[in-house]
Amino acid sequence: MSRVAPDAILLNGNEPAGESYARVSWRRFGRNRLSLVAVWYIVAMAAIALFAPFLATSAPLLEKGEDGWRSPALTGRSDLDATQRVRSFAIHAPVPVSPTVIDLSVRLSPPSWKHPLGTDDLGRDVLSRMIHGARISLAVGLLATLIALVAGSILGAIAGYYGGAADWIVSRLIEVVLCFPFLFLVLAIVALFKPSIYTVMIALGLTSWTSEARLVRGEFLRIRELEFAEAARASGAGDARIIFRHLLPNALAPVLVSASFGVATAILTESALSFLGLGVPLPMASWGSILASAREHIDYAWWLVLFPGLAIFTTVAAFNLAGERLRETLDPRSS
Amino acid sequence: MSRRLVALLLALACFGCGGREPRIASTRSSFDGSPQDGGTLVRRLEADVSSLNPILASSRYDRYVAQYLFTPLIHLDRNLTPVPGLAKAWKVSDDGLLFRFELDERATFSDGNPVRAADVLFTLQKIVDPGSEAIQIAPGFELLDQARTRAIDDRTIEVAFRTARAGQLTYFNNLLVLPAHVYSEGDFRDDFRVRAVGSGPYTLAKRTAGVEVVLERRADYWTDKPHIQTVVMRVVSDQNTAWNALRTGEIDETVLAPDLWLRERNNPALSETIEFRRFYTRNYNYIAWNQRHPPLADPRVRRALAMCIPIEAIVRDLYHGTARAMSGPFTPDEWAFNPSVPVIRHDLAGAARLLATAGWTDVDGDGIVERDGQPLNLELMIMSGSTTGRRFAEMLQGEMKQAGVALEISVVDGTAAIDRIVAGNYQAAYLSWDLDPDPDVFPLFHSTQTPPRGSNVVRYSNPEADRLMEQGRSEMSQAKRKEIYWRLHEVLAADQPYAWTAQVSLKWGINKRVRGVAESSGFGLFLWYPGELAWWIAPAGRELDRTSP
Amino acid sequence: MTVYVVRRLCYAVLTFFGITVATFALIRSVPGDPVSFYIGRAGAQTVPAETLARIRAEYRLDEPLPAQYLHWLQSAATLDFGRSIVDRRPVRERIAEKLPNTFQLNFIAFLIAVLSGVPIGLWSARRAGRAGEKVSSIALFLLYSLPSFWVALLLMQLFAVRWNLLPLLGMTSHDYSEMGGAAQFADRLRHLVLPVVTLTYAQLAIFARFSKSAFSEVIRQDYITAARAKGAGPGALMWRHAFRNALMPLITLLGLTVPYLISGSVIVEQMFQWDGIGLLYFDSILARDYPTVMALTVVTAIVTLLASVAADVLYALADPRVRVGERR
Repeated sequence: MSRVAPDAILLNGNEPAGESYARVSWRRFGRNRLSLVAVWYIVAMAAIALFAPFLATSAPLLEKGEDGWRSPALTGRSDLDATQRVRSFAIHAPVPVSPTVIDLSVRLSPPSWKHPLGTDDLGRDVLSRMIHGARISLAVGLLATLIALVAGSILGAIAGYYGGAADWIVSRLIEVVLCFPFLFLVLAIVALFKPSIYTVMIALGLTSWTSEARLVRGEFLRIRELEFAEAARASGAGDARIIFRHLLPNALAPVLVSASFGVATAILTESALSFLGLGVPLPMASWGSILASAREHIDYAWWLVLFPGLAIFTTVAAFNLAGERLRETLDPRSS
Repeated sequence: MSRRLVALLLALACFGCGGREPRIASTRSSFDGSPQDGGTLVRRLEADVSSLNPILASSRYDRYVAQYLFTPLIHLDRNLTPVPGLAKAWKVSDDGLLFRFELDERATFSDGNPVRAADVLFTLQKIVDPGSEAIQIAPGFELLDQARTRAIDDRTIEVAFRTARAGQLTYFNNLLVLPAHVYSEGDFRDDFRVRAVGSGPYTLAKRTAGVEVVLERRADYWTDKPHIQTVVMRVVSDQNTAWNALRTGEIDETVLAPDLWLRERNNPALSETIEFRRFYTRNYNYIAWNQRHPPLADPRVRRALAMCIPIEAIVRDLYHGTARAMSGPFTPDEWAFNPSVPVIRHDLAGAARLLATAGWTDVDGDGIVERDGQPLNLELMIMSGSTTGRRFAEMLQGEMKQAGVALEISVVDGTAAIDRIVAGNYQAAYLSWDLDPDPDVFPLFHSTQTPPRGSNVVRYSNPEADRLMEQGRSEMSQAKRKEIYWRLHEVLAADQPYAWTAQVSLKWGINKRVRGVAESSGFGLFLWYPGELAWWIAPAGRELDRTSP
Repeated sequence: MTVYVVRRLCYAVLTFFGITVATFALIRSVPGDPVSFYIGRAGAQTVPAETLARIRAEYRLDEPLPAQYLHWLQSAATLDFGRSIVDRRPVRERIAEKLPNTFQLNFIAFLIAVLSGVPIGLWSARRAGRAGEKVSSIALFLLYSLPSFWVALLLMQLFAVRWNLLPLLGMTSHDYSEMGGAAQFADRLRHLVLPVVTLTYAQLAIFARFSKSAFSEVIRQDYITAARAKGAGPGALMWRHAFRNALMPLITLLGLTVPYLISGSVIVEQMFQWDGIGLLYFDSILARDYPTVMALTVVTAIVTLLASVAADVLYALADPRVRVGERR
């Protein structure tokens, strides 16, 4: 990665006056091209996930029927209706097949023009399923991490701020969770509750908050004695206010780094769970469950192994790279 | 016999099974064609053996091993007809209550002791003793009259029953006789898990839990000696792994997934090394409708739901014709099967009409039918790890939606699923049965047989069916029994306590160095006589070309 | 110091009880119990009521949970973990025969990961910012992001099936017992390759990354600068000063890795049919094999806690700045 001159100046401390910390951080972040690629990749994936219902659906995006223009994809009419309705004009989605459309006559077809990434064992379009799978994988990854983040931050904050008995209890709790074989916990939670995407998120969230909690606790121990906390306390602010308004934002940087890695781990774990058959419920597709369905056909249906595996790998790598770069950027000691 | 609704646990449901087409018999023209002695056969176990004590056998894998180590009182031949085993002859009283067996005087246990009537008596007592927990075998002897069962002399035993049961004789195939002098000492349940003394053609050479069971041929076997010297039963739980191991020659036989079987069976690179076979066993898949769940109590609703199953497409495209649609509780190979009962055809419009006559219509226009304001939502439970279950459920979900039924799929692990089924705490479940040679379906559909008493998991109740099942199991005349079961077939097909789906043929891959392989009608490759005991290994030299590049 | 160690051990004992209570509560709140396992096994056959009652009595299923737990604790204290529900063998025996397999696999993977990961980290720290280091750190990141089940599938497909270079599965070949000593050793080694690679690659990346940051940190410390000013050569500097100090965070990491190793074993052991405790754990949970699950929890908890206590104590010993009782 070649370094650009203005950045070098920036580094030497001649920062343009008035530029915010966030802006500086972003520019520092952007100095590494690969991490930029990673971030844009994540953004692209997020866009695909967000717009999946319009990117891959059998329902036309826009059509002219007997009663004028309308958008079946938007109004969420069932796919069957859409194909049977009489229409004079229609704009279809880029991938004009819904992920749940079953066609046994084309099952396990290799990639072709009609099915660019092939079909699965029920003849469903793999590309369509992967686009919708991105939704599941990212949603699970992000929300599980959010749960971990919130739970970890609160517990860590309590432990770090109050110390004493609270700290002792939280520390023991962290220890218990850390020493608990993680898979068992996830299995138990998945078995206990009705299988749903939320169960998976909660299971993952409840097993991965410890690193955030430890980080926040450590930061709090460090900064609660610092001037601004003292100042806030002196001005009569309540504990909650001090924690949330003053301390937490200051502890946020390392937590965000850890969260970025957390998303990567959650996506990996979700796919592993789906691979073991314990993930998201049917007929939803996640990348892991497409891979799992490939297991029976691995020697033959290479497209069922390759594409979802690549999707998991690249997305996880993107979050990891972004997280690493974030860490470097936020770490004032690193160059 | 129990043989097992292992499907519940192992989700085998999928491999299914296939018609009799004895494609190749053992007559292939290499060497002089005559069976050779010696060699090692490596068989696959999909799950580890839980006990070597044959009375406690709880899975088909336990029984696979027991078949080599022990000899049953009677064998079942290729057509599942009783033939001599340890008993060289028997006589059944006219009322069907007394069975007199004459033991083969040559029979010895592997420790050299002869097999005596006392050993048979001992084994029977162990089977019916609740303390043994012989959960698979005991039900076949639940009507035993212990007081009147006795040894007449050293080689003759008379077994008495309180009530006659038409299929009783076949259950003696599960009576794998134990030497009383060995098994009466120590803890019966715990001390014979890893050691075994039997009267079978093999002895236990080595047992590594979770890995393998190694069996060696007995030099002093008392009747027709098998050909193979060493039989290794290797635990390979993963399906793909097993296929790869078959190709590399690490195992000699395995069940194959239908798609794989179909794709590879004409692969020229494999034609030298692997023989592909398929056959039907007494196994079928079905959806259990819990009739305690109010919407499912109505037979019209059950029939309408069955009409949503695209059975023709499943048989044609999913199994490429290697499966059969089921019309009722009996498989087409059985004499109890009534060929005039039609299979329910896939008919979504008809399903919607039938639902409407039962009071279910889409009033609010959301695409889901309602009755009294309650939408028709169903939860279908499938076992985690079952690929067929997953496929089937996803397909059904799409079909039912078009008929106005919202189907929700729950993937549940085997133990939790059984818990819910036994408690009646479910709506629909995709399950499979592996049935006994005798078509007695009393435990499955009789109104007294709700779990935990029996296996009427759907809580079905119909007085006419109850009566037919009672008659069918006690009637001694074969002609009358057939009539009864044909009628029962009609009644059950009309009531649809299950949605019977498909009987899928089992597909197998076998290394071609293994010769003498044949199938029975109903049991497939194993557990009939001579079955696997007739196999032999082609001499080395040919072995070189079994590893494909 | 002694006070610190004793306190740390007391905490560990407390945590240990926390883990066993949590496991006990969890496994019993999951639907299904040994009775349903038996019923499922019987299939279409009916299990007699007496038999079910015996099972309930044997596993004390009708007693209140706290009583069951206390009873379990009592027997566990004498190292009696009962008999497995699946095959009725003593649980201790089942675990004892599988533990070495898991240990063997993980130990080798761990050793390779540490022995190659740490030097890579060291090397990266010294060459931070140069082209070679950047490439290697990106490569490590990519490695770290690879899903292990995917890697296992690809490895099996390529090395075992397509090229037929290595055995596909299991720990030994079927004719293992007929081999000579050297051949047996070679056979075991060949079976180890693929699972070890699968287990190693991600760990290697973790260790390399972690040791790199630990070393980078130490290099920046004043005393290193001082040593450098005194004229210590770069090689000596790295080893004598930096390495010792960088060891501490590494020790912590090693302590924390143990539970991940145990969880990670499940997938690898399942895919390669490696008969270890990861596989046993998974199967036991599915079978609601209460005695085995509890015993495995005890084993893994003890190993994990010992590792974490050892890490903390070493940390405290190595770094006088750790004030007793402050950390963790």
